[in-house]
Amino acid sequence: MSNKLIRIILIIALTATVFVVRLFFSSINSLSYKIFNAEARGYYLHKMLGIVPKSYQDRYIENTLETFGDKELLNLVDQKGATHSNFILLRNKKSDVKFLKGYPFKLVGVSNKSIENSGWEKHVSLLIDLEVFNDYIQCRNLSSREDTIDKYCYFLSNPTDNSSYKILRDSISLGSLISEKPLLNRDFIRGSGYTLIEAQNIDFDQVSETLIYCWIYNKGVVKFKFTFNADNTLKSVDSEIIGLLGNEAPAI
Amino acid sequence: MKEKNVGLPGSCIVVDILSCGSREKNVTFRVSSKREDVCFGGVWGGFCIVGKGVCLYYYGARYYDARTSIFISVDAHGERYPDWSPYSYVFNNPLKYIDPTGLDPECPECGDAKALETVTVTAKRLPERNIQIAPFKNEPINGTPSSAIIGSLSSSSSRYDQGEQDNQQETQTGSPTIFVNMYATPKGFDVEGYLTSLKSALIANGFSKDLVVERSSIIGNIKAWWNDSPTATVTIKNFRLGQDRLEAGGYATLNDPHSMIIYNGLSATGANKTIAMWKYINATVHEIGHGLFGFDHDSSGMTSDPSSIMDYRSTYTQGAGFNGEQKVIIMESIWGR
Repeated sequence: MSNKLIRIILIIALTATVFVVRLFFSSINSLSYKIFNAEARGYYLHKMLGIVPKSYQDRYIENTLETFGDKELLNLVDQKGATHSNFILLRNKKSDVKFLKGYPFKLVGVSNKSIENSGWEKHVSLLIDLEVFNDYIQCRNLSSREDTIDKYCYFLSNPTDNSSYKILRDSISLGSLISEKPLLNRDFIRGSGYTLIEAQNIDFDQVSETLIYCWIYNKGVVKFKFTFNADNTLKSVDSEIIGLLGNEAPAI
Repeated sequence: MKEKNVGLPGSCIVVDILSCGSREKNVTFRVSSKREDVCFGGVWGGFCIVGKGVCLYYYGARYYDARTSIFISVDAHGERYPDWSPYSYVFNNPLKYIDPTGLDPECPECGDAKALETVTVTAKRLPERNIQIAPFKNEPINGTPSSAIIGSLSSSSSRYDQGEQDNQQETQTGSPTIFVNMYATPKGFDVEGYLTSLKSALIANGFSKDLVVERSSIIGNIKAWWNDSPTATVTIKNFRLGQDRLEAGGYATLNDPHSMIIYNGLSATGANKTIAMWKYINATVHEIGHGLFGFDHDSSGMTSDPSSIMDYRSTYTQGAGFNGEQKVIIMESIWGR
């Protein structure tokens, strides 16, 4: 047997071994592995072999938000990260899982190029995978645009905290938000370097059926522009963070 | 109700009625102007610690530190006085004003509220202090507080569960060491000032006086390993959208001593900004609370103790620190021994 052939066999054997090891380890903690693999942190060798470090094992608490047909909507909350970030997933009975909302953006199929073009102020709508979101609203038969927009904003918040977002279409809804959640965190937000805005400066004249403001507890006031397909699924969503009012809790 | 006159060591300029929930019930302590008297001590978690302790005074909504002449937490009505530091005591003019509730300065001589408005408008803004003032700073608590005192402290949602100490280091004997990695440090960032301030702040918050805080290096790491020192790592870096976590000021995994990250400018939008040093220190102490001791808050940043640095309401408050219960945990850990 020639040396060349031996080398080829060795390479194939090594690749196969890596593949098998990776398949074995990553299947043990498949969801945790997907998240770990998308993060910048962690050793490359672990990621290549599908090994999930101890700090990622049993890290996420899974809550079923809804069950419909052969699918279920899950909320995954990080218990070890101090900010308890969350992920929303759509899982079918075959256990195929798709991330509806997640970060890093890799989890929802957003390329680095899109991120470069977006920037911080416009990143919020990148957190949701529209294909998976549309799959969800079709399964749920959501035909009203208002319901679709409400669900979209709901997913951007942490659904285990039902007071953590509010759609703002006029100054009345804004007043209601401020009375429910007084602007007590202005010092913290000023300290954290974010842009504080005055409530009266939000321009509600722009609001329409497809353009709304949404207050999210850890992001502030975000302007969304929705573009719908003929079947009322979402074609695209543009977002822009306007600023923080002073009742948010941007994480640290 | 009994009444006592209690002064501070040296000339005491505080003129007010101070009351606190002493274990000696129904006692009101009056601190008189320019009296030299025995330092009564302070108020800790609502209880007076008798002896040469920390002179913190309870003013209803907040605690006042007589040594630094400022409140240790922010004024809940601070927005009414935008030109003043939310920590300042009665516009720095205790001879004219009093603040019995910790919320609003009152002018007994003025007779109406207009005088306060005048002061607010004409006063100059206080310069932002570039140092960390922690509650109980440089005030070693003699011995371990009794379980009765610990039990009396206001409870916090912060937790310390030995079972979750995955990365707890238990056998080390050398000086506890915190390494600081710096990536893309903004221009003008005072590295030495940061290391010195962080060390002081941590010692003031229950860490051992032998604590070493230094820039990460191979030699330093080998030395720490050789000495069997407990180690932790703090990283300061610019935020990169898409790669770093979306947190504002920083990030830590609970009970992972090498997970602490502080973002430049303390926000995802603040890369390359240089801000007041005490804010970096506060953010670091907050993350160290998560990473070394598993102190936690809910997803809105709330705990049951708004004065603790682990609670967002205090995290970027100059003077914030760990609460008494948390300090006891730190002092009893390998980081405090």
